[in-house]
Amino acid sequence: MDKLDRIKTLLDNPDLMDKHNYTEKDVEELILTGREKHSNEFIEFILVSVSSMNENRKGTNRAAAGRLIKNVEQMLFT
Amino acid sequence: MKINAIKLTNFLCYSGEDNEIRFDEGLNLIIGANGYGKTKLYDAFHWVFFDWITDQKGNSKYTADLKKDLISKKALETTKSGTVLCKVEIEVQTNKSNYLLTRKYFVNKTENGELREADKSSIKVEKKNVLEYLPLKLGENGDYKDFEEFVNIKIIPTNILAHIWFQGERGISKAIDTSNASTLHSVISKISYIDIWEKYIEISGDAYRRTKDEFDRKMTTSTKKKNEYELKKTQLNNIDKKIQRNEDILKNCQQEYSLLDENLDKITLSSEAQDKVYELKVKQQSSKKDISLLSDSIKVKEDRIDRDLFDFSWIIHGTTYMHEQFDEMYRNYGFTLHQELQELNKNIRLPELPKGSPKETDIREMLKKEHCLVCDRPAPKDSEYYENIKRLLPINYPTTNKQIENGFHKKILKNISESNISITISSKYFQTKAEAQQETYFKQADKLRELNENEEKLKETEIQLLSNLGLNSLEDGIINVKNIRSLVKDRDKLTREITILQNTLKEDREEFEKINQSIVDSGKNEVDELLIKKLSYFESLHKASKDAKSSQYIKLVTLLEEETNKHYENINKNTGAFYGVIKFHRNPNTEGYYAKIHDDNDSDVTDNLNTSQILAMRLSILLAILSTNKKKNFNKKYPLISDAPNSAFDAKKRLSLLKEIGSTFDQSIVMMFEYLINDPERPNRYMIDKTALHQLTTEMQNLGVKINVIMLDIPNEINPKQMNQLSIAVNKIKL
Repeated sequence: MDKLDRIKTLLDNPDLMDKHNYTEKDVEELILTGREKHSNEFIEFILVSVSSMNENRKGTNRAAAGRLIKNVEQMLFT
Repeated sequence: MKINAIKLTNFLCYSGEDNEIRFDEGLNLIIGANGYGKTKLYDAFHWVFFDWITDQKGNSKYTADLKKDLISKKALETTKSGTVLCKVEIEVQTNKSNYLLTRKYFVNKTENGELREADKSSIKVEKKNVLEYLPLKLGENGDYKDFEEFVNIKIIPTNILAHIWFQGERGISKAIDTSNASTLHSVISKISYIDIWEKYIEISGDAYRRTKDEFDRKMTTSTKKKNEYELKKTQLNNIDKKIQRNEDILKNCQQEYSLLDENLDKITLSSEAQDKVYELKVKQQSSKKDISLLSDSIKVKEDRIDRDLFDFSWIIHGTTYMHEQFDEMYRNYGFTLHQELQELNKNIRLPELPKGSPKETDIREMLKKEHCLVCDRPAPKDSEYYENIKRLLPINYPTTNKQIENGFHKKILKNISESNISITISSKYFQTKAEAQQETYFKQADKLRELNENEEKLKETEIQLLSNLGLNSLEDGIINVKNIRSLVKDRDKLTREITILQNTLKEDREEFEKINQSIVDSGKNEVDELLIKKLSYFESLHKASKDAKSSQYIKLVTLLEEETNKHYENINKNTGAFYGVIKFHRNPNTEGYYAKIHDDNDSDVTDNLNTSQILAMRLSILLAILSTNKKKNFNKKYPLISDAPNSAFDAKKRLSLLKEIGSTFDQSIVMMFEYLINDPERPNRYMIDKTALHQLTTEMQNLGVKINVIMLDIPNEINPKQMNQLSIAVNKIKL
């Protein structure tokens, strides 16, 4: 399962679609290469989160969680 | 990874050094009769890689437990004194390198025959460098931390070994267990990258908790809603504690449920078989009771008949006595009569005939012949002559019949008559009674015979049933049934507890979410909007990760089910027997899955199927675990090694299985008893069944799978039962 598949699997969730206002079509049309910041902030959050969690760095999951928080804060502030 | 060769020196039954087997790609079939070293060969692989072998109960026995028992008895016997070494060498080829793995163990034999055993074995790893093998350093300053790490990284991941190297049915059952969350995870992780979701769950969960802590700190410092927040927070903490407590209890219940299920699985007695065992036991008990009651009754009857016979003998005796008395009386009477007659005759004086008269007898003769014998002339009846002769007869003879005294005669007759009446009454009474008793007795004897015949039939049924169910005795079966029923009862109780806990947890989690949301909502005007958003997003990410893992599990189980059915169909389709379809059933109590076989009506028929079909199902799951993930490609990367995977299969299914193994794995090493027949020229020895092997070879060639056949034999001069003489001959079979 590649990165895009994982993102789509995470987003393919009716409860979250409802809560964060995105559609199945938004999920289907997702691309990773050459993209701009997504118009739906939650989708953008998921894209950033998956990239962050996929980082192949040595260390504990706690350290990975720290990086995730930092990357998400950065995304939300910019 | 490919195994090129194995060489055994004085290892178990492989005495001497001349025990090398070279393997090819494709199917390597090791054929040998029982006791000819197949399992010891399988053990040799395990010994080199893990320093243990498996005993008959499936337990791991390490070198430290076995010591001198690892060494060939023959080698120990023939070595007078000095070191006796046992060694197994395996040549392994990976994508980049060739390695030689050597494990050794030794004992020292003193001159007086005493054995001094080494405490442990040693392992050496050598890497091939152009032409020769050079040692590889293991340990702190070495290339790998230890041998285990080297094997795991360079040779074969140790977590898949249980699935790819297995022995008999027991090994298969262990390798394919999907019945609870933990074992299912072990299986699913082989066919997918499910671990990535677990990593996401952990990271997102941690990020959410840390953000939540930040939010809590902000809320605590808020003056307006501090009290309201703290109240809700207390509620939330209480529910959270309750949830955690119930989650722990649920986890324990699920583990207990899995254990119960495992124990139930070990007993393996279908509900139909359980009913049969009980039914037979009840019938036997009832039959025994009937026989016992009837036997007692017959015994009583026999006793009564004996008593009656005793009485009757007295009657007979009495009758005889009467007869004796009568005879005596009669004799007395006859004697008295004779005496009286004699007395009477004494007193009678017969008239004398005139002198010269013929005797009375002559006179009567003359009258009869109507002829006078004195003057020799006819004397016809009514003639004068006739009348003259007649006149010569005495005319006043007294009677010779004396009348018996009336009183005496009457008394005797009366006695006889009374005795006869008495005898007749007694005899008739006895006869009626005896006839009635005899009738009852014979009826009961017939019934007893019938019951005994029925008892025999029940015994035959018992033998048949025990054989079908693989039980030693009906008592064992009853114990099993009782155990099963007790386990099922416990399991049902646990199911109810688990359902209650799950419902309680669901309600508490909903309540938790509700209060949590209300805290977040109340904090909207109190804390930074971005923090609230961050909290919401991490919470959603955490939920999305958990949901993704669950949905992936379901998809992967479906994928495993599909792949299993492909193998299952291939193993069964040419056998002509019913095989159905394998379906995985989710068990909400354990969060695991159970494989079941369904018929055309989609009914679960697993309990009614024979061992062969269940084994085919298990082998298919095993093959699917290794072949489902085309990226991980276990079946292409690593060799399958299996000892007796097919014990319950007939010839057709065995052939299908070997074809399936051959076409699924790039390299496989399979040991089995089959493809052998008795050797007519060598008593108690075997030879290759050329016809069956030719069929296998042809079918393999048609599939494009190479086949290499090795036969394990015991030299003619050696008695296979003499362990201290035993050695194995390894013969490559020309195909």
